[in-house]
Amino acid sequence: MDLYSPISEAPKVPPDAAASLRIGRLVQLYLSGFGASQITCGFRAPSAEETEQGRQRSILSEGFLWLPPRLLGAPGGASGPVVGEALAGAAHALAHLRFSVPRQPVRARKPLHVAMLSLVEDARVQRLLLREVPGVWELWKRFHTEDGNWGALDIVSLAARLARALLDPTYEDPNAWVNKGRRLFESVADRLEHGALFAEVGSILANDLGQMRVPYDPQTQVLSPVYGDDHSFLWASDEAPPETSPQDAVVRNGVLWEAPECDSDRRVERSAAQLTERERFTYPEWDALAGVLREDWVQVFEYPGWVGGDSGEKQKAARSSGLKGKSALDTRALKLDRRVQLRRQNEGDALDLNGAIEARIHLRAGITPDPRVFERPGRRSRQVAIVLLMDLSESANDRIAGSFTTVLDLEKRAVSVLAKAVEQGPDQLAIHGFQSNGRHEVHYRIFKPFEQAFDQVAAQPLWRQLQAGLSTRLGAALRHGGRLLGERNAEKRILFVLTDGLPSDIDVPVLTQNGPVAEGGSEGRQGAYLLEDARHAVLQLGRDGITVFCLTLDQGADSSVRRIFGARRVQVVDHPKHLSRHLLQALGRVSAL
Amino acid sequence: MFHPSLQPFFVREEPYYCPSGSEITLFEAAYARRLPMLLKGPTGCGKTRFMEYMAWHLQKPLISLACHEDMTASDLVGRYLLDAQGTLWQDGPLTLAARHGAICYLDEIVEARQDTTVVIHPLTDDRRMLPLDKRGEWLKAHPDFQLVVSYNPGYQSQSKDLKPSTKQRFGALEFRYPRFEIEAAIVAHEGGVPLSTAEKLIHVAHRSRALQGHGLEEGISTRMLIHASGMIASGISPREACDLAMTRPISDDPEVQLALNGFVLAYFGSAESPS
Repeated sequence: MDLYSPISEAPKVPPDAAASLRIGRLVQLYLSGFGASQITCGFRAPSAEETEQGRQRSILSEGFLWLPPRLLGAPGGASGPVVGEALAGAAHALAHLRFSVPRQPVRARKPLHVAMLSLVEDARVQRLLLREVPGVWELWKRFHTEDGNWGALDIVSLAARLARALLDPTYEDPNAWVNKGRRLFESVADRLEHGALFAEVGSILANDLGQMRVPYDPQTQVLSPVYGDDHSFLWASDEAPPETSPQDAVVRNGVLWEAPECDSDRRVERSAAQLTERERFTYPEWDALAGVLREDWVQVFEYPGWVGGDSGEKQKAARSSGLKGKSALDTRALKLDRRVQLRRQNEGDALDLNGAIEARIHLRAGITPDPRVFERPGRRSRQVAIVLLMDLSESANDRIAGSFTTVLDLEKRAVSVLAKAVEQGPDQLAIHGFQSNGRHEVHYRIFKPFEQAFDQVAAQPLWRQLQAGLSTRLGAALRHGGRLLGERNAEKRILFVLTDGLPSDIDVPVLTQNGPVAEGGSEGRQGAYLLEDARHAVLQLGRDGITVFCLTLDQGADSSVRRIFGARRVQVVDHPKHLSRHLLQALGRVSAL
Repeated sequence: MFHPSLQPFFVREEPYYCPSGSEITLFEAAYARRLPMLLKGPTGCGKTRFMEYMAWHLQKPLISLACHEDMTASDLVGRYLLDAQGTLWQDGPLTLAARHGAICYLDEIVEARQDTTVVIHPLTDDRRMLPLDKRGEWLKAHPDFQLVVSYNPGYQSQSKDLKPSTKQRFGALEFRYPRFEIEAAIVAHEGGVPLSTAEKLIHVAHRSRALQGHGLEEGISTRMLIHASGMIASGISPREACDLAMTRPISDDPEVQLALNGFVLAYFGSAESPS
């Protein structure tokens, strides 16, 4: 019987939702529930030795849990067994995170010794976790099926039987070594917190195996259970632990893993497209020092969105679109418009005079009156057009402290959440980005045109492999974004800037990060050049009926950013982790303005 | 004594309420000064039950009204209706409470639009007046009248909040989910299950509350736990009861549901009967 089936059946996940079930997210939620929310889950690429799926193990560290690609599930979507295995792995990881001492030195221990210590440690922490949450055994049980009555006498079988014997009190094994292991373990099992006692047990067992001359090849024989990890969490080995570079091998939670080689072709293809399809625009720039608007001063190149995409991409996009959320722009926030008076209503604030008179006439005439005698103010629906302008300058490549995640990754993730939320409502959203390389070269990229669905965009290499670089000439980008926005037919237009710093460019002296610009100082004035230009652009857009709002990740630049956008048109994100939430919040705020 | 129109609003029997702290004393003191009160806290943590208990305790009628976004000022204050003779003024719940002296409890006040909520302003400062402009009446609030509103600062839409000018008229009590032992006692009492089952349910709830902001807007509430324990008490297996009363209603997100099911499994195992 599949023990997990009662659960996997239970939510009655519709087939299309099952296909987009994201195992990484499920594991992360499970861990968060048990207080391990610091762990980020992702899928790792299989290493060369792990061609057999059965040998793939997850990798745990203090900040990450990399799940084996096997758990991505068959193309048909995640099924009950995959869910069960993922949760079993999550519970196992949780046991280590709670109770294991990470990164102990390996010293001169032999591989078999290390493997036995790890096996006993697994059993110890799993028993500790079971003491707290006994039901987790239901998840693990179905992976401990190795039976001494028909198992082989090799190390893999022995280890699996020992692991079973240490966890499953009902299991009987004919092998003396397994029973010795169990006896030794149980003799100290009342002191599960004392890891040293169990290290001794592991050492004795490893020694016995050595005397039994059981061969062990650490490269091909995996001794941990299928749901377990590769134990690199426990050991600080002299050689680097199986390192998976986060850049190429690992794709973050919720994004599907894909072999890197097929992407490199597309990258070439993309750069060719960039060169041919760009369009050139020129914009003025405000010189605050001279007090003049320099006509045609900046050159902006616009790169259109990626059109097309093969069916495989679409399919993947469909698979990853499981997000459900409220519309970001809560229509309830829209104010009542007193100019729209709904007459002849069943309910309302006041009597509708005409209706009331008519009702009286009907009453006197002995006719049943129309009950709709009230009036109330109505509400106009208004469509909002939003351009989300991402700052793609070099600083977006900065890593968030203590993780492999860059600011750009977080921005992308937050933008995805936002885009999917907005798409559910009536509002239009476009996603643009910019970077600059002097006044002659402002690159303006359209990732998502208004007409395109975000899922299609997210599947494209242009978005997935989005690179940041160069500088931030904000004013020109604002003017160009405003121009594109101005062409939209909408009742409210919002230019929403997502940035992590202040405007800067190579042909302009750097503005110091120490807060506001010193008034009057010539140096400050020079540095403030782009800042003043951006402010000029914002004011101009405001006159054109475009609301400009800025969400900044740069806490130090608070006052300068407020100078550009206006005090109430800026929100500072306290921690990049909270970006998604801030983004939705800010957009809700600005659309209600 | 009380006006006959308030008779239906009395709480006749003592509601079960298990205090988590000094909220009863504090509310009594606030009522003694007729200070308008704001009850904050997550959904299903006992705000409404607390109000029922306090109304019973103070022996005052309680007029409750759930606010919603289409609510207008006339839904609170009252309006003219047509009858056979002509127009007839009908007091709204707020006017009724203010005129005859009841506690008026506006549940989820932020759901109402801000232009609606300003009608309570003159009632909630030292004037204690309610202008009924359509009637041309300045209603002086009855000495027993008190206004209590509840709201849940967590999940409401980002753009919705009380105006500072509204907030500053109130005293506030903050409600959280009760402490472990208290919550277990409440669930065991209300659901009629053994304490050990209640404790397991609360463990599951705590896991779900840790998911707040990671996929759940709010964790499993005390109310949901009581529903689940009631199902268990009537003979449903804990797994199915938790599924019905907790994990399925709280989220439509398949991953969140599976994670919640995982928590239930972790504490209840696959035992098919209540332990």
